[in-house]
Amino acid sequence: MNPALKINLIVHIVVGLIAVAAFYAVLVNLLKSRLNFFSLRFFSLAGVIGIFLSWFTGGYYYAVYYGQAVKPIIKKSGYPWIHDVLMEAKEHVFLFLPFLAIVLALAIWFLESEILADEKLKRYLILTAGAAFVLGLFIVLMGMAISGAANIKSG
Amino acid sequence: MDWHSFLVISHVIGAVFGAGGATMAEVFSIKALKDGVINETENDFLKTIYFFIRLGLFILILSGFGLLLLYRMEGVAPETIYTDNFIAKLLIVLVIIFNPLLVQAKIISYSVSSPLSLVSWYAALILGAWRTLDASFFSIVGVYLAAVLIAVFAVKYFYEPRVKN
Repeated sequence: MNPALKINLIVHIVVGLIAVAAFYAVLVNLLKSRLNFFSLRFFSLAGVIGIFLSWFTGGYYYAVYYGQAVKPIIKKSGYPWIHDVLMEAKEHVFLFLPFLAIVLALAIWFLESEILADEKLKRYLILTAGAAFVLGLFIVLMGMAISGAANIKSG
Repeated sequence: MDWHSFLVISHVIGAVFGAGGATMAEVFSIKALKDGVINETENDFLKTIYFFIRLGLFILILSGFGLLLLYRMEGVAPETIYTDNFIAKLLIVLVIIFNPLLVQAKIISYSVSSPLSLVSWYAALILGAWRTLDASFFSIVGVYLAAVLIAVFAVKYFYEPRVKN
């Protein structure tokens, strides 16, 4: 892996983690009885930026390196399901996240008075933030398993 | 300083913030609740402590992933990283992550959440430091669950009645 790809992979992981942490912060804030819209706006925006950056860097890494250098190692190892199940799930489940992040951020940035007045809307936003966080967490855990499997050759 | 040392030091700082914050939160909340109510100053102290616990958690997770990434790039065999000790620690960190959500959503009470946080942080700290521990995943989780039950029981049956009186 050349230095540019290493930096790309580091950015993919760090901004992905920041995005999941931002969804978590939005969820914790939405569960509070008194909403702090300053931090809700900040974290919802961080979630959108983080998830898009993670998407682009992850996509680049997959297209340029993973497919040729990592996937064959995992497929030939004793754990081919790590690619067949986890990587495939990670790729496809991830696609929900940019849309969930955008919905969450748009609602928080532009529907402040509606959220404060409508308990039902707040509950839906809690569910949206919860879904984004839980899906993000699963993707992080799947990434850990895939990353571990990539080193099986040296085991 | 090399990346490994930087990440290990950050990981330790995260754990110290978390375990220290959880200890302070438990001590302060017990002291604050002596009169049955948490006043504004006490609430302010607790908020600051919770901020440091969350900061510690964030540093711990970020540096933990940094270490995993470093091992991945150095080609370290997964068997030496993904041990029972590591997986148990990961599970405990997940408990630490979900604990505030459960208490905010009023699924668990504060008297359960607080000792759960304290025991979980110390368990993560001990497992992180005790690298040579040779125990299975289930025995580690078993001891952890027993410690959680004892802590929750201690708060519920020895401390709570004193607060109410």
